[in-house]
Amino acid sequence: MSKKIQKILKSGWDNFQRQGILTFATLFIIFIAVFLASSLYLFAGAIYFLNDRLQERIDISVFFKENTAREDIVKIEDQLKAVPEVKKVEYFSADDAYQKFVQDHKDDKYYEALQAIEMNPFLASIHIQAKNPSQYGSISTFLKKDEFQSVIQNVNDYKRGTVIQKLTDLTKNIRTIGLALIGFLSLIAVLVTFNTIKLTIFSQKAEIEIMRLVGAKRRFIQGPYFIQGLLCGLSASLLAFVLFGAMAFLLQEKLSGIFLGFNMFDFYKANIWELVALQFGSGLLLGTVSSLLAVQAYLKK
Amino acid sequence: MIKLENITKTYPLSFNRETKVALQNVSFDVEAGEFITFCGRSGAGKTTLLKLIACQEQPTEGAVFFDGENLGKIKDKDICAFRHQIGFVFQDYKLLSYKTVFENVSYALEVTDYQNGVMDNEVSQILELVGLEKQTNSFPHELSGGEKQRVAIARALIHRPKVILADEPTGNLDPYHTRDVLKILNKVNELGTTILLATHSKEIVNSLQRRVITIEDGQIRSDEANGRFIL
Repeated sequence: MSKKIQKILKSGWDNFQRQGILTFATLFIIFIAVFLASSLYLFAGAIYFLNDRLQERIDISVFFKENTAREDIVKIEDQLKAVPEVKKVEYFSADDAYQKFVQDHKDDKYYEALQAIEMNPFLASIHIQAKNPSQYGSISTFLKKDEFQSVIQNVNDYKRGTVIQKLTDLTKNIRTIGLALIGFLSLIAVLVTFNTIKLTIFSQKAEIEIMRLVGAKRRFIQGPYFIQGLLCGLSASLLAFVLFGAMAFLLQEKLSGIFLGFNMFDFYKANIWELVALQFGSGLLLGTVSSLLAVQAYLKK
Repeated sequence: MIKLENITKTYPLSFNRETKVALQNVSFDVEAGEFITFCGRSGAGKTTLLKLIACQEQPTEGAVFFDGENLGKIKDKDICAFRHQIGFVFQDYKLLSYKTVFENVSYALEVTDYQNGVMDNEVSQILELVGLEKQTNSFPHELSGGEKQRVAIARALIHRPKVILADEPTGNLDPYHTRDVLKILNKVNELGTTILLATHSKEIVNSLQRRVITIEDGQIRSDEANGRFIL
């Protein structure tokens, strides 16, 4: 390593250590921006999770006439599985439906009513999930073919058609609004960070003038500020990484209740490399680019 | 060595289109090894004159020559090399606040192509010369005014410049430190460095007994080889 580069590195490290308030202000604002970026990333993850959960809860239920043979139902199941739009087909016998009802209502008056009639009023059914909510229409049309009408009692989609459409629209809107919000907040974070760093470097204007006066070249002036910005970005990212991890760990149960089972800490662990790239990438970029641009402004004058 | 030819310098005033004339039709020559005092009231144009010689400002009219080179035509990339030939001393010291005494002085060498081992020796020697060998690791805010000015002088001398531009270097100092600073400047001049000193102090001008250029309202009022304070 050349002596000049060594001097620049040492000078940048000295500035980082010695300029307490400047370093703290820069580090703090980068930390806020990185933390915000991480939170937005998490928010986006939560939106996709909620979207998937909502879609999972949408299905078409097909109820079969009493005494329909299991083989006939299996045939329909097989045909449905061959339809490209179908994601999952699940069979519930009349007994399964009875047991589920008993389990869900064992402590209320519906259970007493069921016992009073002394028979199983439930029908065998299959529940179909589409790969995409917009595909429920074509699955429904498929089930209304004449060949199935001898065994099918009813296809429970006539009401869900609207519900399905509404849920689809809602999830689309949530995603669009969420992404727009993420974009807007990211822009604000970048602008606020850049201007704060610019203001903190404003205090260095006189120092930069002195450096120019004693004949320091551009690179020799910019170099230490670049290193200082790099160190601020690195420390802020490291701090954000640790604190965000701790927050995800501590709040995982509380937030899981709010976000339909979305586990923040599991998400953090599953996407750790993407988060590391996001946090360290944004931190280092903000630290170095902001300090370079701010010093550049004084070098021109 | 330095030649100012019909220099006029004006500054635009804010909020209207008028301009302030800082220097008007100023011409003089400086020979190598001279000690010149620029004397005049505050706002007479002394600092502007030094800034023009340091290539910090460009004249509105006229030209400044340094070793025969027109400073108005000097390229941006060559300004650093040009500044290595000059040492600066200011009333407000202009030290780098986050660097130690040693680092402030060595910075002026680091920006040139000096060897590291030689540099440490030179810096130690110059700090000994100005009596700051015990404060090498102190920061500027830990020093007195006189000590700060001695650091500034050490920084100005370290790279053995051809010229030292000293703008009111004793303005913030008591009489004892003023005498020390003048003693150092005299010593440096005896060793061959050209000194251009701007001051409005009658005592300093009269004690030096060197060439004095008196400036009044941006114009040269007198230029005497063995001048005295006449304002």
